[in-house]
Amino acid sequence: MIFHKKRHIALYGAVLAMLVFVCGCGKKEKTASDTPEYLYAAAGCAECHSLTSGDDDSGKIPLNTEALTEAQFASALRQGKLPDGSDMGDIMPWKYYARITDGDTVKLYEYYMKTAFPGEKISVGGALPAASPFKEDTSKTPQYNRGMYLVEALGRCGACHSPEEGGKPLSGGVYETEWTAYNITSDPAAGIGKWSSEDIEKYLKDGVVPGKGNAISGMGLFVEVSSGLLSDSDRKAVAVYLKSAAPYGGGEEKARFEWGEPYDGVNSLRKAMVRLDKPEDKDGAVLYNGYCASCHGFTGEGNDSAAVGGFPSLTHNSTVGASEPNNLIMVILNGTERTYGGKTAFMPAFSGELDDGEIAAIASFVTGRFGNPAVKITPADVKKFR
Amino acid sequence: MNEKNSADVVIVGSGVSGCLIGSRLAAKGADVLILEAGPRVTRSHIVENFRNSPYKGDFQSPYPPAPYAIHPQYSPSNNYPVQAGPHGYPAGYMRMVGGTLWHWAGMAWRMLPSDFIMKSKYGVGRDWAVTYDELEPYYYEAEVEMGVGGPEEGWPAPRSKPFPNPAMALPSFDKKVGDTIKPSGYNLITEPVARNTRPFDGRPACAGNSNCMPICPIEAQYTGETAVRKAEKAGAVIHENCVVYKIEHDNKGRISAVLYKTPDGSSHRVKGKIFVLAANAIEIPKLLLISASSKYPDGMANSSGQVGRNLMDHPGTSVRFLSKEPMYPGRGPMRASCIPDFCDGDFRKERAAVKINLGNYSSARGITEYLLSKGIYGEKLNSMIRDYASRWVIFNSMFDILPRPENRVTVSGSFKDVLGIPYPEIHYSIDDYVDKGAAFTRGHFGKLAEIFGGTEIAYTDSYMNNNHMMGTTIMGDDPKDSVVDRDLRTHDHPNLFIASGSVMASAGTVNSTLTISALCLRLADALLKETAKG
Ligand SMILES: Cc1cc2nc3c(=O)[nH]c(=O)nc-3n(C[C@H](O)[C@H](O)[C@H](O)COP(=O)(O)OP(=O)(O)OC[C@H]3O[C@@H](n4cnc5c(N)ncnc54)[C@H](O)[C@@H]3O)c2cc1C
Repeated sequence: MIFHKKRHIALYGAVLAMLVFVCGCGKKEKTASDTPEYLYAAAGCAECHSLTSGDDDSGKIPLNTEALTEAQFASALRQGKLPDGSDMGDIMPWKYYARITDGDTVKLYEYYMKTAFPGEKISVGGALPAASPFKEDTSKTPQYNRGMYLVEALGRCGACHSPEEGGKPLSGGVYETEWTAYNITSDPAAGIGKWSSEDIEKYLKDGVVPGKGNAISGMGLFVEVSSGLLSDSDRKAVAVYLKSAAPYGGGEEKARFEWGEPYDGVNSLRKAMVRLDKPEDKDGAVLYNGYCASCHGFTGEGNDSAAVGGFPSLTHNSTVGASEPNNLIMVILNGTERTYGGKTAFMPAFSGELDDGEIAAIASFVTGRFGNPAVKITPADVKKFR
Repeated sequence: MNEKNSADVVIVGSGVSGCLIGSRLAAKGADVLILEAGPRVTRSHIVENFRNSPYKGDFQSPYPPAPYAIHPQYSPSNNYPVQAGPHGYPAGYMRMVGGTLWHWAGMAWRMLPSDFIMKSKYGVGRDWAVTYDELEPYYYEAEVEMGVGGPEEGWPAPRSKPFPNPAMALPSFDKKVGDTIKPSGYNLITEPVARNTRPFDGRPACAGNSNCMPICPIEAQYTGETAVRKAEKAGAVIHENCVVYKIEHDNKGRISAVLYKTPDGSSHRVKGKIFVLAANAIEIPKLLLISASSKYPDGMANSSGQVGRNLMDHPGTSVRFLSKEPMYPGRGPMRASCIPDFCDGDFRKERAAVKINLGNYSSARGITEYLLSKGIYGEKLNSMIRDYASRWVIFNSMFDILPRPENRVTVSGSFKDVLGIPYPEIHYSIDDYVDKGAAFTRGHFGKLAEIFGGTEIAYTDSYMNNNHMMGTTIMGDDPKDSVVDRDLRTHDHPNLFIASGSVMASAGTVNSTLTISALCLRLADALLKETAKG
């Protein structure tokens, strides 16, 4: 099932796409899971904010130049309200952060003060705005409940992966002209029901699961600043929770990653050279070979594709096999650059080099062979994403 | 046809030289028009041409030229430029948007301070009209523009700042070779390259396609298309398919316009305040010479008679042998390291300096041809290809040829292109200054082969070209024996400038493009001041 949600305020995804990549400091050693640093990572604050007060050149959303009081901080987190009373809107996932416990909220405040306003007086006291208390499911294991807390509160997965309010949780956020956050429910075809727990943990750790998918753009950034820094046991808890999240699907034929065959037609493309002043063929297979195959391979099976920073296989790849071509078009247009554990996964942006028709031809060749052949991309589709 | 027919600054040629200047000037708001003889081409077109070409070893092959803007072709030869001998000068360059940088190898070297003062230091050749120190900040700017990565040690050209990118990781072949020759006293250093060693400027890191020449398929290398994209983004206008064939002057000797032809043969005039020729060291002298008028019967900018003269390249010889142990060449960039030990010294009074390069080539094709020529077929052929490919070692060399007036580009009296524009003709000979350097180098080639227990040693003593065309509008302080001054302004025409290897007054032993780029950036700075004056 495809959910389209149009939002009039700035899209979370849009902001993610704009964020300038800031080199992380590599992978931190495992920290105890309740330190302020750890909570800061688990809440993924660095996805949008750099913890310097005021403007810096990171391209991230600047913090207020004046330190917030503890109560103001909690109100920003839980109500999406700035001290002047204005609303941050859905771009701040306050509906999720409102579920963070008082204890953790106070620790996040501590980290915020320590990092952004070192040496300044911490102003605590006064009642915090009420949390939306988080109900543990006592019939389930502590691991499940920890996973729920990470997914539904701190990690606020649904901010991207759930459709608009009232929709089916985690069943995917599809934005008309933006990145899609896929269905991550346990539905075997529409969601990630066929991913093993280990697959999910590996994905959250380094963003690469060969034969399944690669984290790019927003998810790539999330891995970089958040899930990749968590403890193994927390990633396991997330996987346990996601594997048991209610399945929602729309009768999809296959899971995203199940599509695709290697291309074996490269020899049929060989022909006479084309003079420089004559137009070269704009056929999708030819363009794929000219622009993409030197990294993704003539057959589309990638190169060193299991490695972080390797070139992903396009067959059995969620981005390619999805029924919405959003992410495929977006990544061709804008490229991606993410660093996991000191290794950089990079794809250049082709928006300047290729026109809508060329990108449509390439994308349709790619879905036709390496993905779901029913998905066809027109030049008009590409234009929408520019 | 083209809407723009005048500009404050008119540049002829959209190679890296023209684009760097255009980009810097346009970024500061100047009105820049670049006229380019050849067509616009995409990377995919070239990559597919390369794959379709039966002549993989000929780097000009995947670039079959437009008939109205031909450039050298060798498989088979199109006789362009015409070779008048006695030595051949098989130049490699392209006429298309982005120019020759589409298929360079990204070696991005600074020349040595001595290279700029050959005459005063060693009594041979010429001195430049600019010094290394004056060029140094522009070398650095060029390195940043191109994202050069290189080693901090091992090359005695002083640097004010570290390389913008880390040095490339050496292929295992180069490492092995370096370790093997070290005990015998040879140094092997990593080449500085304009080939990304990490994602940089929106371009990916080198992925080891081992295809730098004739085309980097992923633009990890800073190439012609990079230069063009940046120039256009900065606001420079590029008109392709405009073959400039005449430079016009007023009665005071200032340039008033250039004339170009479009593929249909029609002529067009473009007026400007400042003109920059960036059409490379073969096409620039040709254009100056064919622009002769009654006031300038020997061609434009040619009161010294030096236009077209002092043609240089880096003539090269090579050795190839089978090493006793497998070395596994051919993975990663095609060229990654060199021996810098003979690039400078008092010996330059007598003989040419030399840079010895290690070739990290995949030689399966050459080996196959070699074995077939020895009558080896079948299963034996297969296993021998495998074995030879792992042990095939190639060193080649680049000599510092001196600028000599008799080595020159002239205009062919007999060959014209479809637009009626004459071919360039090349007169070239290699003197004993280089021969002595080659004899010295052959000795070292022999020693190197010996270190590896080399067998089947083959020397190539006939000089190869290295596609570094230089000298043909040489720079100097004296208008009587040089074409441009220290600011690259022609001595004869105050608003005509030249941006190309053609202004270089010595060749040195290193690839020329970073030096050309530094000169261009310095010129751009000077032109900004000039345009500000109005
Ligand atoms: C195979 C090969 C490998 C190389 N490797 C290296 C290397 O590793 N390192 C290095 O430093 N250098 C290398 N070079 C040299 C390098 O490519 C050149 O130095 C560089 O490209 C010169 O740039 P340019 O802009 O001055 O000239 P060009 O790139 O030749 O540009 C001149 C432009 O002027 C245009 N033009 C010509 N005539 C006219 C006209 N009449 N009207 C309008 N436009 C015209 C041409 O079409 C062209 O676009 C290599 C060259 C080759 C061929």
